[in-house]
Amino acid sequence: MEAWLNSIVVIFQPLNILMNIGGMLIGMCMSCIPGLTATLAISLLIPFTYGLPPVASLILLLSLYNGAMYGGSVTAITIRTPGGPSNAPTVLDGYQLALKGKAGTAISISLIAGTIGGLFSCVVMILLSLPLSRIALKFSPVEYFTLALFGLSAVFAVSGKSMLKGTMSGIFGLILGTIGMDEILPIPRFTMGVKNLEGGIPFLPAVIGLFALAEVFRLIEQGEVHTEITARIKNILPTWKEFTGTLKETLRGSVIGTWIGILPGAGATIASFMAYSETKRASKHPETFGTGDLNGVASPEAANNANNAGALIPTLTLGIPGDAVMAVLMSALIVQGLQPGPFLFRDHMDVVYPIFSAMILSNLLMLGLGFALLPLSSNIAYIKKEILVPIIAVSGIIGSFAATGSLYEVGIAVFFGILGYVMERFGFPVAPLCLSLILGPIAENSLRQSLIMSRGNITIFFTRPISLILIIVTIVSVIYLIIQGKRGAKLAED
Amino acid sequence: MKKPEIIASILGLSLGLVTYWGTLHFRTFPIHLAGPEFFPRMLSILLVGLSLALLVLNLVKGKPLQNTTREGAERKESAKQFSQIASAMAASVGYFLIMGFVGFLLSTFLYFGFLMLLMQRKKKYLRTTAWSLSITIIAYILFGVLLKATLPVGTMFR
Repeated sequence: MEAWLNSIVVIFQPLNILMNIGGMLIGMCMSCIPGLTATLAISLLIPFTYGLPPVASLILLLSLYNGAMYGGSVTAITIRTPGGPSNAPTVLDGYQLALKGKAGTAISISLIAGTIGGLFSCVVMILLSLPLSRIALKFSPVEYFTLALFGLSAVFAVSGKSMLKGTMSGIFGLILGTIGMDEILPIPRFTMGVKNLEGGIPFLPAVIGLFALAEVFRLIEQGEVHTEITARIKNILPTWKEFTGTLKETLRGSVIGTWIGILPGAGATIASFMAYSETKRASKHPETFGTGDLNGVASPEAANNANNAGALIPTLTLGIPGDAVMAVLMSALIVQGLQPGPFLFRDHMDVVYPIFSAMILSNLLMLGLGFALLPLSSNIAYIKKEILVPIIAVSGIIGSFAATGSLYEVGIAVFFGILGYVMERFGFPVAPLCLSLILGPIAENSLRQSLIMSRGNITIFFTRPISLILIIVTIVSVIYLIIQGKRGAKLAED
Repeated sequence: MKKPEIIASILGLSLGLVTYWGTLHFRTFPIHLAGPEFFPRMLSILLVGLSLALLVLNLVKGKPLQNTTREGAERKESAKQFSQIASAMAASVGYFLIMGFVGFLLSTFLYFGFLMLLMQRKKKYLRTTAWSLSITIIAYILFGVLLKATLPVGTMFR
């Protein structure tokens, strides 16, 4: 108890409060610009933290992470451009809500859901840090494959009107994910002799292209017409009914986000897609998803923010990064002389407790700052298209360059921008491709490792209990989604 | 039957076949049950199957079973719209290609200005130049100065 009280005193020190607020603002603002993600922001800010004490340094980076996870939903909702990959599912319903003049409501629900998700995962992190990481340690490639398979079943949930085309899009994404050096046996695949392709398709510029640049082309196609979001955004605060109506799915997203965050390597993108998929699957009216259902915003955003503290668990307790951002954050810890892992809990609880407390405070600050800035953030909708379109294009392209300083990634972004536009013109949704691009390598590597372990015996997937459960859940989920899809199509016709 | 649906099926089919053909050129490792070719080959077969399904469904039904091409695609696209989109795509490719040669500042200025002019019905050159210059400077300050990203100078100016 004394340690907790001390941690509260520490986080309210002027420097730490400043870092918390500053990090939050930077994260929110940066993620509103397509292409600027938490990973990029953290990696660029780390040099600035050398001179800061360890706690202040970590508070800055973690609050930036929290702010970025929420901030990306603003552009996802207002201009159909996710701030980061994990905000991609928010586009599906958030943008439709904006078209109906409910952008403010969507953004505030995203903010509230993100806060609840963040707080939920903080509590879980504090209570179950060590036990949860022990369970995650039991996952072998077999479980990772079936989990990836389950994640891929979300393709059906994000396919929109055509599951057949959505599945084709998903498979295309999986094929794209095989480009590069094979991770198990070092041979190049589909690289066509291009050295840069040996590293595979980098995910960030691909997503920038698929969503931001493809949107640029789509907006140009429309021309400078009366923009869909024309009226002043009213009703920034949701009604009580709207708020309570999304609570259940917010909690669902929080649980999924926290759990996925704990699994090393899974990441916020998988968490948000799975949350969206599960919410749609569990809904009594799945046909409303994709047309402007608030639950389609609340659930993935809750998962998005819940993933943050969840990802901290394996990072701090095991020294295994929960996602890409955590990998970068680990370098910040090491720079400060703190080695992530069990010894951190043994020797540096004076750092661990303030991190826990700061994460809670950060989520509460996000709620306050988010509402304060909401009228400003929604103003992005009023920028004339002739100015907005080039800004999106330029920031997306520079964003894809700035992360690694490589023009190759700019080329990837442009290629995927053209591809994304063409795909949508032919009715192929890009969300499944996006999901498959990230899950594909995980699925393939874990499948092949599993077959190596079992010497080619596929019953290994059915003899391990967790794997078997995941397979059953996947099959049930797919059948259910197909039935729901047909039912929804019939309802739409009627 | 709808042309876009047929074209989409054929594209999917082609992609699947090309992928399968590509896997035939991978180095094989007989001791490995699931070698590097295993996953992409499996996917290519799936893609071919689904593409055929889409093609057959559209041919048999006489109209697209799932008319999911965007509404804008069904109406005849004006030549102007098509040229605008093509120009934007070409400009994006050009931006990527010239950035390494002329550098970040000049390429961004040109790209922004081009896209802005493309969106305008009545071309406003002075306004476009002002906006283009401002955004280029802001982008430089944001990325190059504040975030300390190494922006390309351009081989032309080295």
